[in-house]
Amino acid sequence: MVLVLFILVPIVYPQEYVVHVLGLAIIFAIASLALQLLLGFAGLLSIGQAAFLGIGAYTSAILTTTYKLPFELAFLAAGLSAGIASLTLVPITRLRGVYLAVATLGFTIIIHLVLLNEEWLTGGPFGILNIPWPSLGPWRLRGETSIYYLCLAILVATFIALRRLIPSRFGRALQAIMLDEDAARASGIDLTYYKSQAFVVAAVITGFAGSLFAHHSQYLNPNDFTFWKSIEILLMVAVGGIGSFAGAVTGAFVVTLLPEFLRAADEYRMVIFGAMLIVFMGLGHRGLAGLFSAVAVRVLQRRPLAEQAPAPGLSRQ
Amino acid sequence: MTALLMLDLLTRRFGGITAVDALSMRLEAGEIHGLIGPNGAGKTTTLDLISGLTAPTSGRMWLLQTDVTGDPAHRLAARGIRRTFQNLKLFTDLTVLQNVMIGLHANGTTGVCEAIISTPRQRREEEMITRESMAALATVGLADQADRPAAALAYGYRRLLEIARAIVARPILLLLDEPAAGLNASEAETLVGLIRRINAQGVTVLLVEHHMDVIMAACSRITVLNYGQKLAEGTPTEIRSDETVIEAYLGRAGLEERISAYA
Amino acid sequence: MSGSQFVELLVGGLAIGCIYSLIALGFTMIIRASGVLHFAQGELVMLGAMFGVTAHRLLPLPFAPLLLVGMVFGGLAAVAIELGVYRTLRVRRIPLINITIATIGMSILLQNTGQLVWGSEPIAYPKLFATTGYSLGPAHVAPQLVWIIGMGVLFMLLLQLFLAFTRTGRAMQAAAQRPETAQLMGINLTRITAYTYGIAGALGGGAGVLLGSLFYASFNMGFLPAIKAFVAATLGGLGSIGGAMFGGIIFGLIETFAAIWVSTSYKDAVGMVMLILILLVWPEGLVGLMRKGR
Repeated sequence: MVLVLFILVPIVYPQEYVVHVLGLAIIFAIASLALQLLLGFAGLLSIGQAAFLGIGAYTSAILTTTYKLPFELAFLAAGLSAGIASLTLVPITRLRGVYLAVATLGFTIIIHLVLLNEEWLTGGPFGILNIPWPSLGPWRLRGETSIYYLCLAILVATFIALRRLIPSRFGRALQAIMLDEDAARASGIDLTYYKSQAFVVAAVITGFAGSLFAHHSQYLNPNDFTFWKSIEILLMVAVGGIGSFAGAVTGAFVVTLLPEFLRAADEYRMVIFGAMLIVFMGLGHRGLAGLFSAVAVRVLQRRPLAEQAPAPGLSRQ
Repeated sequence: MTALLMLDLLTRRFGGITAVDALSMRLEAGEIHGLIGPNGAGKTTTLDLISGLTAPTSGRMWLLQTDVTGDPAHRLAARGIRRTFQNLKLFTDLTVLQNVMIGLHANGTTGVCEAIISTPRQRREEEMITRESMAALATVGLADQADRPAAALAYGYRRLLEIARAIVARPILLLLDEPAAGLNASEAETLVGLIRRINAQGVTVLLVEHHMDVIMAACSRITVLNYGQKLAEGTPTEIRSDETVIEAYLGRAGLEERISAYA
Repeated sequence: MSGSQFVELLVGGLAIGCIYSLIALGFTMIIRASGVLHFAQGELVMLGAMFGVTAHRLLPLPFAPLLLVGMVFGGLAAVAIELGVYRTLRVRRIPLINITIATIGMSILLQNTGQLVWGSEPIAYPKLFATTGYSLGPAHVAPQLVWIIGMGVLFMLLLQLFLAFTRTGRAMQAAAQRPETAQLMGINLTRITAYTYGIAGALGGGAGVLLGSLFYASFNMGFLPAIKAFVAATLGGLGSIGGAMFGGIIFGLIETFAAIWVSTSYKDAVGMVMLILILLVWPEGLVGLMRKGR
């Protein structure tokens, strides 16, 4: 239902800029979904997602510009390289809470510095220019609208895949780890193995998003992938509501589009953004997703609140 | 006859405190073995050691003929050692059924990719897990609450849920940490019946309890701990009249009172 | 490396280390008191620096009173934020992670407000120190660095004394370790938390003046030092006052010395790599290591 809206938007608002920004929001929505898996279902606070976004973006960009490989390969390679890079985080999975977050923060800063300094590979601070449009087989997807639909397709695929993952054996293991590590161990779950796997899955998805980012912006700069970007992705998940995939998508749109809407306020733009962030946080941990479902309940007035209220970890429609 | 579990001089130190001190124990296959002792005697730490939640400072542990000293908890769980917890460790945000399904984690093999594509093998595995979990819930009497959030269960039922999660994988050794805590007399009786039924299906049980009636009714042998050391071991009758045991629980004065009562 | 070079690096490292320590202490105190990772700590540093340089424009004060100005304003700002915003969220039982993210919002808000008020251009600090350096043998040491180290150590000592020997300080310790029990003993948690934020803000504001006098003041000056200070606090062991002090100084020293061997572009990475390596071996940080050794 919401999907139909998304499909129709570029037709209703064909202005290039609008479609471009929405495409960007979709790309970040994909990255937010990955973080939601980590944070909302495995309980792992990662401030490292921008690093994987960058690794995926640069992999895809380098393969298509320097080596002239087709987009499909570059796209897959982006996910692969991000996944492999995430394996370096295996040792830190035994860190708890804030310490894990700080280690991922360190990881992001290191990767950013590598992207910035290794000019022979990444073009350094000049970045990479003229990244080609993506292609699917013989067709080259030119134009904002085509890219938009590609990103949308990937978003939908990711959403469905993650929704399938949560009620599975893997998803249960993650949630068990988040809810009670000792009980999870006593039930036969290898904590390090599953935490690492969660990181890898999230990294691969984020790597794919990075590839889309590269071909969407067609220009890459290392400063797109600072730890601040990681924080932004975290904001998207938090605003949308921790534990809800739909919330992560919503949050991504809010955080990406809000500054655009605030352009009218000109210099006060970011001040208002900061203030609104604080207000959003006052909504409680279900974030916007919780707000919407609470509103929906009141509007529909069908089932009692106890049955309707979503809880993190339970499958939702 | 080979023992199911053998502990040899198992010791666990925390900084300056020796919680478990050179404990040696044998568990015979098929028995219900009690583990009692005053507060702070090291009973829960012993369970932590056997289940692998904690690693021993020294000493060894054998499961059947295999040396499993220092094995991590998830590996011991896969080998068939399962437990419940004194302070209940349920996955509160998940449903009752999901809690039990996690108990079968080690019996499954499907991972990320199969889950996303939903292969026939994965679907079969999920069906098996659901079936076995419902059976475990039926054994403890919670089948009708399967889809409720675990957090919504009453206290007594929560204990049963933990037991269901522990037995669903048909363990060879079940460690129960004060399962009767907070239960009234009739609930405790039902619990004893449940433990017996589980034992009859071939599960060896190590039962830590303060509820003496439960221990005496259910156990064929009892080990008594005090200050981390084994104080006594024997049948319920032997333990009941053992002077050192009575003294440990009731103190010197209590012991003398008991003796004068018998005189 | 020559002896004089070593001494100069040592002094420089200690100075920046003291600055990191002060900021790190702010993080640590707030985490101990409310469990919140205060992302806006860097902005309190910025505010201290800004108020300091603004005050100097109105009234040319020497170094020490200027430092006080920065601390006072940093502290007041922190208290205002805590009582106005954070407490409101806590009262509404907003979960911790949301409050932590709200501090990110606060950081954005303060940074951009700072930009509006003071402009985008960096503001130079006035000359507050003599330019001729002290000489330790062949080494030359700027008096400014000595002042920074002196002030830093002084405040750390004062903080330790305050926490250990005053009623309020001890109440803060109690509230940090066992809030419910502290409340039962009649400690007003609201007031104590406000004091904690006030101290964190004062320390941060002071660090801001020190930092500003060393480099310059600008609206986004607090950002990177705050991250580094946080890393330093984690290095020493989050939640430990001693760990924050220790971690800050160690971080400053390593950063300064590493700049010789590592190319300047990767200088920032040194601290990060160090952090990750240390956490892997001692997940509780260096202070945790020392505790285990007992």
